[in-house]
Amino acid sequence: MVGPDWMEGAPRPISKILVANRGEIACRVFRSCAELGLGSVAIYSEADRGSLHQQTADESVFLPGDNLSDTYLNIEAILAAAEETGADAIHPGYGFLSERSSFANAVKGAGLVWIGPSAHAIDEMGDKISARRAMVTAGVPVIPGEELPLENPDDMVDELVRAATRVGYPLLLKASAGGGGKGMRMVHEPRNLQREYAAASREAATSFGDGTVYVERLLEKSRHIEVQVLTDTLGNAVHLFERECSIQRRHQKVVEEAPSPVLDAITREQMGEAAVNAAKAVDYEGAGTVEFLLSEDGEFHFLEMNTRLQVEHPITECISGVDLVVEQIRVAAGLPLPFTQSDLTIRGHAIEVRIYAEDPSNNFLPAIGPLAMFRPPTGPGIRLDTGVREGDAASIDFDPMLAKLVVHAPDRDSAIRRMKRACEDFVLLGVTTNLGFLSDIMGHPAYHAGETTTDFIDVNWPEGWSPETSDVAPFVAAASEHYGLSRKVTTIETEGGRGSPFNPFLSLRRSFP
Amino acid sequence: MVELRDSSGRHWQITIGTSEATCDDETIANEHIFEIDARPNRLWADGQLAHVVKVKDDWWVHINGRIHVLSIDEQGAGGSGDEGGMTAPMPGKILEILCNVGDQVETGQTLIVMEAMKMEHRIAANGPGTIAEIHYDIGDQVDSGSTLIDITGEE
Repeated sequence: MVGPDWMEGAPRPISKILVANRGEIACRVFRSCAELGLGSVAIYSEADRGSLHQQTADESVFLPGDNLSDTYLNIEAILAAAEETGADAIHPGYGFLSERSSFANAVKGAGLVWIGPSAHAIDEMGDKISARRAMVTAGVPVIPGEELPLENPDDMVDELVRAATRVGYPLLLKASAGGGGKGMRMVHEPRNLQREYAAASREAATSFGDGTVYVERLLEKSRHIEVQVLTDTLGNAVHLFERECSIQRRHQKVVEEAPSPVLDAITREQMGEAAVNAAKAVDYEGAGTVEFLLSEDGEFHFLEMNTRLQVEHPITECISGVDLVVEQIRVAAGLPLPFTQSDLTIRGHAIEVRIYAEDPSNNFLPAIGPLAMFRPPTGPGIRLDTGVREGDAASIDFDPMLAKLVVHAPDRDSAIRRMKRACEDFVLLGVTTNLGFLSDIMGHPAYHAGETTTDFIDVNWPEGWSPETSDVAPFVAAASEHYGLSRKVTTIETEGGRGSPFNPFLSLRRSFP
Repeated sequence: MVELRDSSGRHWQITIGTSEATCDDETIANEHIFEIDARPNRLWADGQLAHVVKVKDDWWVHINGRIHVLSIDEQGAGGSGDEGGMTAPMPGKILEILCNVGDQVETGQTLIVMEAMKMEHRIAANGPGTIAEIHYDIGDQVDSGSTLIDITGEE
């Protein structure tokens, strides 16, 4: 017998899923596996030994090596781990190998089920130029700009300058294989072009192993709106409405919400239809996201398609009532979507904030430190997706995102109030985070008014953000010192020091925080 | 007595037993009522529940929906000085060094490009002057707060 009862009759039955990822997204998939009656397998590197994702899975396989190329990017080792544990399907999460067609092919080549779109769809959408071409053919509106692949930084400088002049300033240099704000640079003046190009291609090479960069007109005052699509392998396709992800810093999203505060029903339907057409144009399978820029005049342009599960997928799950990971697994098994477009409606409003270990008062620089206290908020309509717990540490090894805090409420105003309360209730001590900043965004009149353009942070905090001072906090600290509360805190090991299994206090602390 | 400094640089001298308090930029009310909770790291201050934890030399306080970090002030430990120390703002790797010892540099000129958590950060000169010493090479890992470059100011 393969797989749980509900899998019976599936063309490609699944019984055990290996997640080729780490952190919160690995935990997210493992939870669904447990609920679906599927086995789960984690992979982990030395830095993730004893991490939440390793311990959440039924089984885990250690991947030795210091570099990502030895561990989370090591296709051979991941396939070997699947074979060793008898996993029959692989979920890639987001980032890492999730949008590498070679990985999708290797997984299928090994006789395993790939929980994601085809290699063809990944390639077609992963290359910004072919994606653009496919969208033009499918009748999906694209961003005005120059198409110019730049492959060799030395030979291409003249061509880059000419292309930039044709496109016009301000412009955006983007890594062709990029995403998540990495390998993306804004250029406002010609004199910065070459410097930013060098940085963008270097970041792209570090993060994606591909230094190709692409030039595009920067549309300021625009909104970043993305549409969730879901397609099965039998030709059914639906959209699950939009997410608005305009509030960003360093081109990385900070606050997302669904539905968008500005979209009217007609535009929503048009964008949804365009997104479904985009997915169909590449024979997409599973969960994907079509990103659009919505300009002030209400026009929308195709930005890119992310051929994976998005970080911010929980807000769509809140408003649609659809568990996207469950649907991904069902689609990969060859089962049909259990609903049609007309079954789907928007229920209430959801907001997600990304809690980063970073200093919002100092240019959002990443911060490290122990999670000496990590007490998330609770209550109706509150969800936390995280890969860390109290006693863990924010380390330099990975992305600084600690958790995603998600709220769901009947309407936007109550969702904002709920999120503000949730941010305020989050006791997260020991490492600097953006919680105070997030709380201030939730309290900002411009946010309440729905003025969430991509330059929201720069416009509303032109001098940068600084935390509120408090007159009582110093007394609390002093009182703690006075009453000896500090003696109840054992030293918390930060990165590097947590390897010692012989420290009795360390294990005590973890058991009884 | 505990001496503390908050994130905005205000310096506090606080004694709880006799409830004394001074702050270097204003006089603040010194009547606070503390109640110690039965559990570690919790106390009530003026009727508000506070969570507190000490990590190294810093007090982390969550009270009234806000998180505050207060460093225990060491007498005479002045700031980093007006000239000289260009320090790493976070741990990371040196990607590029854009100056040489002896170079004249302007304020804001990029001297070093670092990488941390896959993002690049530029370290700019904090004043005009001459590069006296460069402490690291390309590819070196540096800790937060490490002095990267010494600049001597113009007389």
